[in-house]
Amino acid sequence: MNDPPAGGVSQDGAGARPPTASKASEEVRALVRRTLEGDDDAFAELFRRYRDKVYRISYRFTRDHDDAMDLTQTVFIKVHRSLDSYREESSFATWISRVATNCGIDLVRQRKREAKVKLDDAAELTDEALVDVGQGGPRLSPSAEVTNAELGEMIRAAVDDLSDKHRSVFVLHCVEGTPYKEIAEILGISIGTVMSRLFHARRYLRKSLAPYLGETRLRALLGEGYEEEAP
Amino acid sequence: MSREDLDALAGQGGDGLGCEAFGHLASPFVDGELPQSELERFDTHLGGCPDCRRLVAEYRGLDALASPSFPEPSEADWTRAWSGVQDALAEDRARAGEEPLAPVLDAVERLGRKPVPRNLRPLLYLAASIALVAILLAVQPDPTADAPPASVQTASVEPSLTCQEPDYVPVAYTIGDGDDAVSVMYCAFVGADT
Repeated sequence: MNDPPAGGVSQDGAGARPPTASKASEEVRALVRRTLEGDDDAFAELFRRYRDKVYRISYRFTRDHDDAMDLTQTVFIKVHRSLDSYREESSFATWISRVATNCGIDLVRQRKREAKVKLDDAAELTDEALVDVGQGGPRLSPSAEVTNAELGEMIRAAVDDLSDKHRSVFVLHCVEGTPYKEIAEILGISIGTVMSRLFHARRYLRKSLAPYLGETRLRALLGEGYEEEAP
Repeated sequence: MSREDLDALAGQGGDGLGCEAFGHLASPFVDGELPQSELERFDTHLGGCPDCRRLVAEYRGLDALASPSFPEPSEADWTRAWSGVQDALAEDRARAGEEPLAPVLDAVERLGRKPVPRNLRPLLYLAASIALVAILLAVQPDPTADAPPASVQTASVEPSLTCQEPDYVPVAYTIGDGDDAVSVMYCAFVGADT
């Protein structure tokens, strides 16, 4: 199997001068067909075209570069193994995003199971140890000074606490603001459901993190945008 | 996004929006997913409602926190990832070569992990029954197995075999021609079945 050509290119064949959408999607379908016939160069090209998109989704689930690279690798292995289930009437980008999202959900579930095992182990020690371990990541007292990095870790833990269906919508939304319509296609739900789940996810996150979202923090996060919203 | 979607989310008929309804719609507002007509109404509401402005700011703050910039993977990262993919696919192929039934076993394994939908179970049982019958038929002893093949040349070999048991006679024949010819000789039962 050959190396994938060097240089990142965005999905659907976007290069310096991207071809039209229909031409790009026809190219991608041809690559899929060739891969199914055993052409490894075609799969290398698919990897090159979609690796950035898959990495971005993976990173939203893991929030760690190395873990995201591992997850990206897992996604492409799964894509190759299940390529025959791809139906050409849908966009390949949508299909691969769905595979990446499902892999991300699996990873979070696995982490939760491992965290539960750790928690159970800790429960066998003392009550003090249980308090220190907690569930889903670090918890700081509302009055504590937290950095953006710490707050980022807290939001990761809070996102992990969401149900699979709410987490999927929120994570996809965070990937470069994926439009509701595209999220709906990826997850096979209606736009109204996307909107509803995103609302509930945000409400939960706000409730979890509101003590840390003070005036100063919001001003720092939103800059001029905050001034405009809260004159 | 349809007006019905918005109204359903807001939980009201859509006439006049209070803070509660706006709270539901702040999320699509932040995402720029509201149609122009709704957007104008919310803008108007925002101008006079500090609580809703705060809510919008908090949603945007959460988004900013949840969407940190990505560390850019290096070419070395991609090479390693691609190499890992290749290794896994090579293992798949090697496994498929060693175990021709691997895809079938994988499918069965996958089936075992997922509960079969109730309405598909009768079909599954039927398919399993048909498969079982087919297997049983395939392993049935062939009643013509002891009989000479159709192309045998029974006259070409003189039987030099003596059968000791009653109701058994020597049978000999040759399969094939020339150097590839194979001679077969055995005692065949010619008595009546009991």
